[in-house]
Amino acid sequence: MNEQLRILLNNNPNLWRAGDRSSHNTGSGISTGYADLDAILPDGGWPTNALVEVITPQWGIGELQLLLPSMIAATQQNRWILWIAPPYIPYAPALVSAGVDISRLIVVRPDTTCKDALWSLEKALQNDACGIAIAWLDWISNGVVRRLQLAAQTGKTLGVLFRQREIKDSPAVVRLQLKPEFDGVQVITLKARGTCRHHSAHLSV
Amino acid sequence: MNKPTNVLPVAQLSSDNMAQLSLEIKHAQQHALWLSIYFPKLALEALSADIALSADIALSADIALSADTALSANTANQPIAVIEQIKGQRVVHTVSDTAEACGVTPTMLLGSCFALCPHLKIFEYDEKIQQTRLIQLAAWAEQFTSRISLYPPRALLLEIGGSLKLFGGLETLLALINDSLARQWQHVFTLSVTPTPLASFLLASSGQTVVVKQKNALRSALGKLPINILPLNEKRKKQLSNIGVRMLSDVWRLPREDLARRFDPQLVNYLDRALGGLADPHKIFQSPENFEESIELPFEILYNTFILIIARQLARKLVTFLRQRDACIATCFFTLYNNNDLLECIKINMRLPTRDAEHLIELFTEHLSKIKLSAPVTRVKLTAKHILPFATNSAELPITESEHLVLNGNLNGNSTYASKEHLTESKDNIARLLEQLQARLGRQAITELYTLADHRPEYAHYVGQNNRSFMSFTQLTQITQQRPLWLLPDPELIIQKNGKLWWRGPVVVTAGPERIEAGWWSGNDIRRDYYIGINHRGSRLWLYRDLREGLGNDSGSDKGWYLHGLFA
Repeated sequence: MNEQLRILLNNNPNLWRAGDRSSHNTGSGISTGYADLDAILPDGGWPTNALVEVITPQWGIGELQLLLPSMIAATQQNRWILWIAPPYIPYAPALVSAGVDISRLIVVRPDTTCKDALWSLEKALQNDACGIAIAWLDWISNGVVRRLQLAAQTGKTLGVLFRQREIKDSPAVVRLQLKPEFDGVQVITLKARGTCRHHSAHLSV
Repeated sequence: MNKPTNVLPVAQLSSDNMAQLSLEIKHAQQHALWLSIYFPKLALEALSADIALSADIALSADIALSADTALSANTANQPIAVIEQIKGQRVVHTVSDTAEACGVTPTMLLGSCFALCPHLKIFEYDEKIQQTRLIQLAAWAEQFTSRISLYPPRALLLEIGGSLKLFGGLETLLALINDSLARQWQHVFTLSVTPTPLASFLLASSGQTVVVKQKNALRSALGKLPINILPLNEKRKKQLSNIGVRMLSDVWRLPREDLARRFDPQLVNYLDRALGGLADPHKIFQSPENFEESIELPFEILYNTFILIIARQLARKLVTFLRQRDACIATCFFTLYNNNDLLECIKINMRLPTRDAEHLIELFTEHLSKIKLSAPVTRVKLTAKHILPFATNSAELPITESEHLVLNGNLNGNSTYASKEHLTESKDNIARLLEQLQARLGRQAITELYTLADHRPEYAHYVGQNNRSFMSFTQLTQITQQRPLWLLPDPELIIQKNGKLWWRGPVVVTAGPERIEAGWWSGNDIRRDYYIGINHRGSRLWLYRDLREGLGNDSGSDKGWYLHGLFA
């Protein structure tokens, strides 16, 4: 193949070739802090300015471990973290011992209505000072997810949506399914840009 | 090589000009120079800003206004008269150009006006509105000099002798004032400059744009003015015209003593003040410390959109006010009225002091969307009391290594600016986001996390809105044991089935115990053994067994197990 053509094809993020995942591993993503997970994500890490949907069957299976390295990195870059409507109280001493700078962590109270929570997430996604915005929301329609995905595209914020139920055909760019294992958690890519196969990685907790 | 030269305009003056300029300045330093700005149609124009705004809203709101108040946005081309009551009669006070063209003049009776101009629109004279506008104009004029006096009802006096050096001479300054006045305000005005305030006012109010720099030239400059402008009653004026005195130049010819004896000693004093023979002190205008402005509408508005139009207008006024003082605010109040009844007072709190009108309106919009007004709005007021000095955040910015490179000239200068701007922006941004969230969700909904030095797990953290800078939070130096990321608001009692712990499935204990026993001094003492467990669905649990007495656990019974957190 012509060298120039190859460069053109490789550098075009809108183009994907089925079955040729390695050529798409552009490394433009933000590292998740887990090499195994980076390897199965299309950009070699969390996608920049996109929405990630994490489906976790129940809380407390290590779902936050997935994001801890990214959160530590964000606070080190003087960016802020916003948690919207978490199911339980984020326990500050545990976050501190994990290395998260809690002075840059803002929690929007859990009893916020779904509409207000969505609105908060949208505002956070449009704000460049916010590095990661995480929301725990169930029961939201695909239309709303699409709107959040669009908001994420305009900003530079990584948006993460934790859900307990899987919804078909969600417009989020990356969708991950978590499965608890005795010594960690298994991450399965339900959907990721640039690949049509499910990959899985094991994270030890 | 063609190098662009960028020299200050002052340096381009020839040496002759320079000499003249320095002479002018030297003269002005010894002698005051008073500029009088006279607004002949202030009573009308002060109304028109509000009229135009109301018309704008009425148009967009599609409100059918009654015949008296129906106005198009363009008020200039309409016959309008401001009327006042004199001895029970309604007399014209000020008229617009269009009305003047029909033959309507001040002091005319209202009946005659309508005979001349049937479509004449009339407004009542409001001294308060006129005075407010004069004060606003004085505040605007503060950019040129610090010595300003109001000369009610419709003139300002500015001492500009001291400002000449700064602004580069009299002509430059006058051009600047003229220009700024024409650009920022829709007022008809005349400017006159003389060494005395009174002479300036007399010349300006009779419509003359004159510059007199020397006191001894005042007589001839004032000479052409008619005696009507003097503050005399009709009888005295007639007496003067009877002896052939029609202009001030005729007055100059009369001997002073005779003038004082036959007419009024006050008249001689007045003329002396005009000519600079007598001191003529004026009260120096002091701009208000607080901002308070309101806009009243001739109709009722129900929709937030229109309230916002007015609020935006007020916010812009506030920003102008702040700019002039190089100040900013952290708090302000929007008050909504229905006639004189207070409907709602909305407090806008900013995390960082600001003077950004759009930001203010953004926050106001969020507040407004939450409230339900019990009645339509007719007046909106904006008040700001605690005016703070304006400070940029640039001082707090750390200079990174790449910026050092930029500063040392390895990259072009523009990028230094851009990167710094961006950093300031990002700091402002989070404050902006939090303000938006607070405005919509309420202050209580936005919380921060803190750690506290306590061994009891539930007292080792704090979730609240306290400003970090006001409280110091400490943490236990080392937490060696594993702590969960999720904490339950209240420990949840765990039931047991068939002798096994059960929380959404059977639980297997994998680690523990960790004994925590503290707080006996505070009444909230705890005595617990913490364990880590996992249920069959994979949730990792932080459990404890309450060891306090009276809970029936002495004999190793199966009671007193609680779930306190989840390892997420």
